[in-house]
Amino acid sequence: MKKILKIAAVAAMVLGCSACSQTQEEEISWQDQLIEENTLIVGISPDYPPYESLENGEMVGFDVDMMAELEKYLGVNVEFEQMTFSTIVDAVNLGQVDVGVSGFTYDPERQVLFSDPYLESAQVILTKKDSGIESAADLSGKVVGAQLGTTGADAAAEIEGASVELNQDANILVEALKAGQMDAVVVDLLVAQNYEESDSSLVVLDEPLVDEENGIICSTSNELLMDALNDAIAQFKESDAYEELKTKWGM
Amino acid sequence: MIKAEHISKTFQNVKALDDVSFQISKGEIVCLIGPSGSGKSTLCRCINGLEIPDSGNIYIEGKQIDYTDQKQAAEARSKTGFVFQHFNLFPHMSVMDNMILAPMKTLHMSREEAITKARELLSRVGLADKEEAYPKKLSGGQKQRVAIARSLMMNPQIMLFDEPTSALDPEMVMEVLEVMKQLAFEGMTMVVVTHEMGFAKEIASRIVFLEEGKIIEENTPDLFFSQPQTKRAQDFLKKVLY
Amino acid sequence: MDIQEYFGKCLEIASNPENYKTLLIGAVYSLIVASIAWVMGIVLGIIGASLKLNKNKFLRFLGNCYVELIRGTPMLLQILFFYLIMPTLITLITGNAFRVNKFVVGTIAIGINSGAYSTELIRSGIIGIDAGQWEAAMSLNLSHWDMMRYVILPQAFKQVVPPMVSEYITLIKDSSLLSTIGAVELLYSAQIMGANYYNYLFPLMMAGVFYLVMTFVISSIAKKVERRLAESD
Repeated sequence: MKKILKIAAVAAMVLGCSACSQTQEEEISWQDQLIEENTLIVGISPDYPPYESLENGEMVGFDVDMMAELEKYLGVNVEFEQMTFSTIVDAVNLGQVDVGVSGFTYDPERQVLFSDPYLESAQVILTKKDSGIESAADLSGKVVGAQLGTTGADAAAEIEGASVELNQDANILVEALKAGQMDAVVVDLLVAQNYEESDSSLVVLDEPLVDEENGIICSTSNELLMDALNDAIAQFKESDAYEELKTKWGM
Repeated sequence: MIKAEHISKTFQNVKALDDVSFQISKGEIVCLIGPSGSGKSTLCRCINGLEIPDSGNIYIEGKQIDYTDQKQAAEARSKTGFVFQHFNLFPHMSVMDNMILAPMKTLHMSREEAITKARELLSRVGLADKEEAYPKKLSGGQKQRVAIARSLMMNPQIMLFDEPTSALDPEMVMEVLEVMKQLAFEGMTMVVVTHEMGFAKEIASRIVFLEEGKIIEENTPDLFFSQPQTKRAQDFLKKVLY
Repeated sequence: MDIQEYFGKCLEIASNPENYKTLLIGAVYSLIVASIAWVMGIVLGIIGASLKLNKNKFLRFLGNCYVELIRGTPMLLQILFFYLIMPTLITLITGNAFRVNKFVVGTIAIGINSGAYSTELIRSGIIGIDAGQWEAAMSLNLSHWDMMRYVILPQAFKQVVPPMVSEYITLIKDSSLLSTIGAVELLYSAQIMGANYYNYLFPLMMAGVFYLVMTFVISSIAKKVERRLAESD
């Protein structure tokens, strides 16, 4: 039944009847576009902690908990469909699943729709205002601190000509920056912003070294669904649950 | 030769010496006796500057000595030898090294000279075969004999003995006293703090009896032991000579 | 990750000879830090002890200040002081940027720390010498210097050797605190390795074995030396 409706809708668009298509769109809601009635089928690859992983056969992770939250705002049942990561995009496009959730970072090469980010982070450069450093390019020949084992450390290692000093503790890195022992520190955006606010001599460079934004993907033909997802994500991010989950999974 | 005038010394509210005056001339052998805590050791130590009296003066050969002055102290000590109750040999040195350290360092004796002299003195105290031994291998009596010989290395004009046999097992007392007796016969001036009444009686030229930081009685040994003048001396002798 | 997978990963780390090389280099740095700091500590300890045993009240006060200040604060704070606060102060005073070498300031901080403990070890070694030894030396008319050199210090030295060795062993372990400022030593090498393998614990365990071997070898040597010293008594 649903399939028929869907086909009819597509047929109407194909016929190019713009006037009637508009009315048709009003009538056709995102729920109607779901593969299974009242159910959002989610393609997921549980091998990417803390986003999603298997624990004693049970799926856990930030994405899993987040979908449970989004379920409330969307008002449909969420059903996970496990698959390997590389097949999720195909599965979305082929209509085997409605959406894909697996810690996707925005990538224009992937021919899918990306939701607004539900997790945003970036590795940015924190430096002294009077350092004269305005971009990563200025760091050549300079001492750059980064936190041991983070993506920031990897990013810092990529900076050409910079000598990287690694430390376990971001606080000590920033203190070393203040004490003139380093020229810049690569840290997580939020951390960097907190320091920038607390100390007027510090500044976060606008241009991030690495962008890390996670979104949900769905088929390019499913804009209505994407709008609904974005709404739900926006509500989720406003809720207390968002911070709780971030803390819970250490995001 | 040595004169101590009006010496007082207090240790934590205990008056060890209370206005004591004392002197000894060349060739004399004075035994200081008295109950423990009477101040006899303190008097002996004050003479050598091991204790600094709170008041009073010490004269050696007529010259007043201020033991807080290093030069004066060194000059005074160059004339005196001191033998301790607990020997105080240097445990990390052989007997020979114990003997020759000070003469080489302070009298600028050559090593050979010092060794020759040490051997001579060691054989005088009957320990010629012990020069390579470390103190811990020696008996108490042997240690004390080495200590006496070590003092003699410095050519003292007067020897001070602070209870030289009190820390010894009874069977070793005699060998030390024999060495001291020999010294006495050779004419050494000696101050001996002792509990060995027989020894004191035999070799002392004078007995000084102290109690509670004061000299109670001074006499020749014959008179002191046969007719003590004071009640205190009588009581003391009653206790020690039974 | 199941247990099999975990051990598989550990095995992978343990079977790579490069990792041992990394840790070995770290261990050498730890030994360098500990050795320099130890020698520095002994020198400072001799100075500190002579201050604390001095007749001069002010010098005694100085000695006490040094010991109490250092022993009363964590070594970590002292390291951070030399790495972060001291250069800031120098910059404030001179107006010029002052960048320190982490390894050097870290070693100095540990050496100064060790000096306070050595001060107490040496001081108690000296005052632990029986009063009779001082008196005998005095009655033999030895000068203060000869008395210290030939009578007191050789005996104090023997008493001080065992605690000094354990101070050295302590320093080998304490040198790991330099990892907090990111100076290369054994623990830091293990942390880097942990970050590379996304396995933090196992490299730390490996470093632990390195520490154990170093301290065991040193205390074995020390026992032999002590035995030899004891024989000469």
